[in-house]
Amino acid sequence: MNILGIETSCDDTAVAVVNSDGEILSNVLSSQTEFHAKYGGIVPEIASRKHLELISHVCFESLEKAQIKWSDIDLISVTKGPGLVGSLLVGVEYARGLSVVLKKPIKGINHMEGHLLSPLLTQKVPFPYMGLVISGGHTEFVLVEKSGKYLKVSSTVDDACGESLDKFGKQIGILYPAGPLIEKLAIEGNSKAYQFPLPKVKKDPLAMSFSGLKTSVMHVITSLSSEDLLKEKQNLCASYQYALFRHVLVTAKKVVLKYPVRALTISGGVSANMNLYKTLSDGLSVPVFKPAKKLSTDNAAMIAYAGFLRFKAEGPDSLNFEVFSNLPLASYNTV
Amino acid sequence: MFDILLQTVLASTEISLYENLKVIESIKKSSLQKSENTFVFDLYCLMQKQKIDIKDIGHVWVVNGPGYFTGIRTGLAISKTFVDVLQIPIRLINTFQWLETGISDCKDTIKIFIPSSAREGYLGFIKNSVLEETFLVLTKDVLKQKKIGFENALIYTNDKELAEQKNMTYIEPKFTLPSVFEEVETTRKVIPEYFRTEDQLFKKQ
Repeated sequence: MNILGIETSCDDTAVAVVNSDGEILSNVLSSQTEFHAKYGGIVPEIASRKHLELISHVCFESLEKAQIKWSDIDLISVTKGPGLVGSLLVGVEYARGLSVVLKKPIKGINHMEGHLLSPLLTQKVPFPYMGLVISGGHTEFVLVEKSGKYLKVSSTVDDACGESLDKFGKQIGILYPAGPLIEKLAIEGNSKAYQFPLPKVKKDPLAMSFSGLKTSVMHVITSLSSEDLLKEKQNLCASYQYALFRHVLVTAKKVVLKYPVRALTISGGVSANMNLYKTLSDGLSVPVFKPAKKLSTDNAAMIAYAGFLRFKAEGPDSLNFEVFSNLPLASYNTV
Repeated sequence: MFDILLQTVLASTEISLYENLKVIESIKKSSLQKSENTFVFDLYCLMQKQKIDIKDIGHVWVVNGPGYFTGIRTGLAISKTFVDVLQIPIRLINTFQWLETGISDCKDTIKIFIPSSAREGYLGFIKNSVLEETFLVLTKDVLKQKKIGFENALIYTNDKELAEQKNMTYIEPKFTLPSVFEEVETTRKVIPEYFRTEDQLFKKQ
């Protein structure tokens, strides 16, 4: 069985073909990063236009790489939320159209479920595990009892970790997306050069908060002259990144203690940061799994795979399933 | 041979089936927002009801703007699949020319206003079925006609709420497929019309 996955929830147009053995036959992604970089972040209207422009081309390339024809597709799986509605709709309407013209079933998938299951595409991860989805839009820990059975146990109350990195990057002159360059500069800096407080959310000890750290680093940045800021760039990157990941590690320790699991997985854009992986691997008592880089950021292979598992458990969706900008995983605790 | 029409760009939307260019069945919805998840489902139901197979479709007619941006993208995304998989040609229709089918026997220049968001839209001037000029204008300026250079002119619109305000006349298309269209056979050429430039978009934000 070949599953065509389509992912357009944010600014990447992605189409993949995965078979029922979990083998990735193709995983094509067209990034819009350069179009949004000049605006310092994603412009939703531009993102959805680019999806419309790119969707067919990315789809054809994916079929070509997988060396299959349209008629070899058995199931269409598409992200139905959470994400930017305009962007989601392009992918979903294209998928619905394909479902009708190919006469094949369709499955709408929660983007977060895709991320949570993505490590399973390349590794054997023991259930139950704790999934950390960490990106520019999300930072949350989700207990994965089995495929389809999830419980969100912790999330950020304000900025996402990747968003915090982008905002910090903007202040020190690093273009969006700032994470990769911050990671590179941090390697050359001293993570203890600046001390930032460990955030605490009074009402919920398992919750995370990144906006306070951002304010702290802003105070430091504004206190420096432009010459000093240039000199201190590496140290600031190392110290800020350390503070963010220490907060994630402290929260990870708490959730793993409260919900005994056999492993922790990390996925989402920030999971590509090797320092985060090292911080969690060194600091936790459970093994830490992360997908290959191409599967850690937004991609369609994870949507195809999650679609296959859902289809096996529930059968197809109706063509008029809804698209949601805010789709909680709680609605997925049914399988 | 059967044709499909997708009009997803106006406040009220329609999905129709045609046989030899005559409408045989149509689903109309009064709200774009409420119908954006059901276009393909409605199309599928129409085809099932009429016992039409996908291979019996000759053309897909799609109204590609001006109109609501989400609707434009939706219609084009659906129609792309027909080109991509079945190589069924797409016929792109300008919204002004689609709405003009609802106005009969008018010898003067016809002025039609099409909202593209809550606060602005396009004003088009049509004479003898030829679209002469279009302007991006603020809705409030259309209502106060002095600001856009003419007074007490008859302006048509497909937006019922706007029509209820002064100086607007409500029109509905008559399901006659227009003689003016652009036929495309590759996805690359299926591009939306009447989108603001990136600079205009960013200024607005």
